[in-house]
Amino acid sequence: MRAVRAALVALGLAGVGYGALGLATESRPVSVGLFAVVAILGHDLLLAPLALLVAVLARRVVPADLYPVVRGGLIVTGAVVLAFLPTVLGFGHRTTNPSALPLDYPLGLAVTLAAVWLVTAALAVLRRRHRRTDASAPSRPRAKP
Amino acid sequence: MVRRADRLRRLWTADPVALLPRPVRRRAATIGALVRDRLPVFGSSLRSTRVTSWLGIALAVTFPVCFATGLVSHLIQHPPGWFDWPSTPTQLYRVTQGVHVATGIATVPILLAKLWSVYPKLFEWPPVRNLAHLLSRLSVFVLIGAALAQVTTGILNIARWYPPMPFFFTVAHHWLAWIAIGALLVHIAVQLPTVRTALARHPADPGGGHAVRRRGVLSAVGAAVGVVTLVSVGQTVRPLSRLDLLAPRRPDIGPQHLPVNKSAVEAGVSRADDRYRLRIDGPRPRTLTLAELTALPQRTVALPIACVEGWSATGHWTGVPIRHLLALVGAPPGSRLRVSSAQRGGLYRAATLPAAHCRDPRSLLALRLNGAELDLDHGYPCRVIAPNLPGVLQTKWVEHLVVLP
Repeated sequence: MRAVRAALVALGLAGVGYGALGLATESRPVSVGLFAVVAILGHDLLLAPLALLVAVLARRVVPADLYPVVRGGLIVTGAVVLAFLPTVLGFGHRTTNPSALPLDYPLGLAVTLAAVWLVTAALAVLRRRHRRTDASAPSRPRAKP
Repeated sequence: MVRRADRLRRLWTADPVALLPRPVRRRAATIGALVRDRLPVFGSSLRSTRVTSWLGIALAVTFPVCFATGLVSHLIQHPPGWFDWPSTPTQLYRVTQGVHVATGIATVPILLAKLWSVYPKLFEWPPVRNLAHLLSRLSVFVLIGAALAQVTTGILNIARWYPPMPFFFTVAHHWLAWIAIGALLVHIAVQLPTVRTALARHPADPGGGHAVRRRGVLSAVGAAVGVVTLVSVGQTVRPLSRLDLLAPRRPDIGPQHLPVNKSAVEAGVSRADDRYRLRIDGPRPRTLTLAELTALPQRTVALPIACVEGWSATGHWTGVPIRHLLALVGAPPGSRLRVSSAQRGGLYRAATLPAAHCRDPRSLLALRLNGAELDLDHGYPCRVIAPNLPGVLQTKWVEHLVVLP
């Protein structure tokens, strides 16, 4: 175990060193480093607090028993928005190449999110129904004898 | 010697505050207490070492998959002496590169969930306990920076949005990959005991329906992976192209129903006229007009165009087999072919067709696509099309071939 971990650390450090060397000699290490730092700060100071805020607000608005389902919908929504934000914003679109980014992405996003929330709503309904039958179930056997 | 090792060990585990002079130390403690009282409190009972471990394991799969497939693509484009890329299986590059981009997109929700699950650690107090702790935090900083940068640059690239990246994408993405995978290995080595304990068969269950809530979070992340994949993977998996709502490409949209990575306008190429000649340099150099090319024996093959950006689409290409052209100029067996384009600039104005692809009877200098003359955007008057090769190496607007040993 110890040997495996030591080997992993050695291999990992070699990888980091090789990458850093390549970055320094063939790319623009300051720009790339700055990009990575901005990515970290963007997550830690902007994205994460925003997600926590949304969670706090949702928890206030949504009934407690449905919150887990709604949280699932929010997680999927956030992932879809972030993964495709540059595509939806469309800054990369050029009239010189009509086959690159050819779709109506705001519409695609709207359809995707509509489907996500339709499923979320269906799950919420199922959960309520499930809860109700659960709640009424224990009373039945007692009524029998 | 013993004393030096002892001092090193003490430095490794020493409290940094204790190393400060006494007046500063006292003040540091007061300030520390003030900060500590103002740090955010995280109430979510969803976070646990178990959730973090599962998300970590998922990333320990997606990152190596992206690394390996990306490295393959890099080696094909910049082959070192020991590397030979075969021309079969035909669909291999389409699959590896499709998997590369799809896995990268699927990593978005997993990586964000992983960062959420350890977010409170960002505010741990004291921020540095000792040298070992400092190094461990720095390695995590490198890992998160490289991981976020890799995913972000990849996504910006497929969305063709370059101004936020003040560096050349492919080179930075390649070297960052080594940093990310290296930092990941170090992180796995450091966290392995924690993960093993957390996922042991009988963990100390915090109780209170924790298992149910944990499954809820993990299934939400799984659902997110499913949705982002489903709405984009159709750019390479044809049966799912109807669900392709947010992918940068659709395999049937483009000139002659096939996408184009770089159009003629973007490459600064205009339509060749009667003066067009294909020059072939070899033991018996030849110059061919378009009519002479068309008069040579033709062959039709179904081959995919597979782009480094993760989309792919199959076309029916008709043209002169490369093998035939090589024989025409008396090229010896095992030759490679340097293919140059009418394109004046750009990284891919010329490319070398590997020996395996020169030998393969399905490699063509294509003149027609799907039964019609090649569209200018697809490389009129002729382009290279070969099995199991990135699209960027299948040079368009070909005007010069050089036989290489």
